[in-house]
Amino acid sequence: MKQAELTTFISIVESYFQSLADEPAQIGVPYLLDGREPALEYTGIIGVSGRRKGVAYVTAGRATLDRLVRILTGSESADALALDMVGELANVLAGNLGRAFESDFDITVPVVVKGAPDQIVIQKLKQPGFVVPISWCGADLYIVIGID
Amino acid sequence: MKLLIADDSAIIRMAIERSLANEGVEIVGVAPNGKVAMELFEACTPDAVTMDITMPEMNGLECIERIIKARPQVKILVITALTTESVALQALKLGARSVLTKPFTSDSLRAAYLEMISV
Repeated sequence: MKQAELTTFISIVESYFQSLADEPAQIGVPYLLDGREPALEYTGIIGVSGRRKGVAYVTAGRATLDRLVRILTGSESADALALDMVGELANVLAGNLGRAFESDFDITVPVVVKGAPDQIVIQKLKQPGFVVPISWCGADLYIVIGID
Repeated sequence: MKLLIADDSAIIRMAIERSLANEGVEIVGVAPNGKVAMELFEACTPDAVTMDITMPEMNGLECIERIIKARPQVKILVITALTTESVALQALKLGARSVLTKPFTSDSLRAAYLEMISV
């Protein structure tokens, strides 16, 4: 992923949280994938294929997902909804990568995982991959992009 | 207006139901994938459909093609995370009336829905 694409993507993430809740997200300094990618309690993973190839995932804690569920549905969250939420979050953010890439690509349906492994390792890439740390409503989440 | 909602995310299905609750909509079916969407389409004869694109079993584009072939008057609003132009163009070419990209707010969904039923 190129630096300019990352910059565009970060502005998409900012507007996502702003549009959902009128609550700005604080975007931390992105850093390069180093083989010890972050994993929190819930993770939604999207495969990317077509002209671009790779993987993107969002990893977040339960409190963040519960808040998003309440905003979107007006209902209290539950474990199944938290899992669904992290998948949908990954789906929306990966889908919006199109605005950054300016080229066609396909995305898979999300794979969702509960339970944080010690680490996630992204396959070796030709271009640099990034971790984007985000703080929203007092909790941390991460977006990890490993796409050539 | 009898509406069928097709989206693999339970949260999005709930959000659509909530957003359109005051628009005179009768939700006649909610489908978590394209295959169930087609079963409900045949069983419930909706006037309109909100259709996700990336879904398991059968994707939204295939559903649109089948729905329009069976009942061309059905109004379809595509709601998708995919922001690439080709997907939107393909959906419109197949017969969808309108395309809304995620994330959406209740206001933007209502506006897209009202635009779709007015076409």
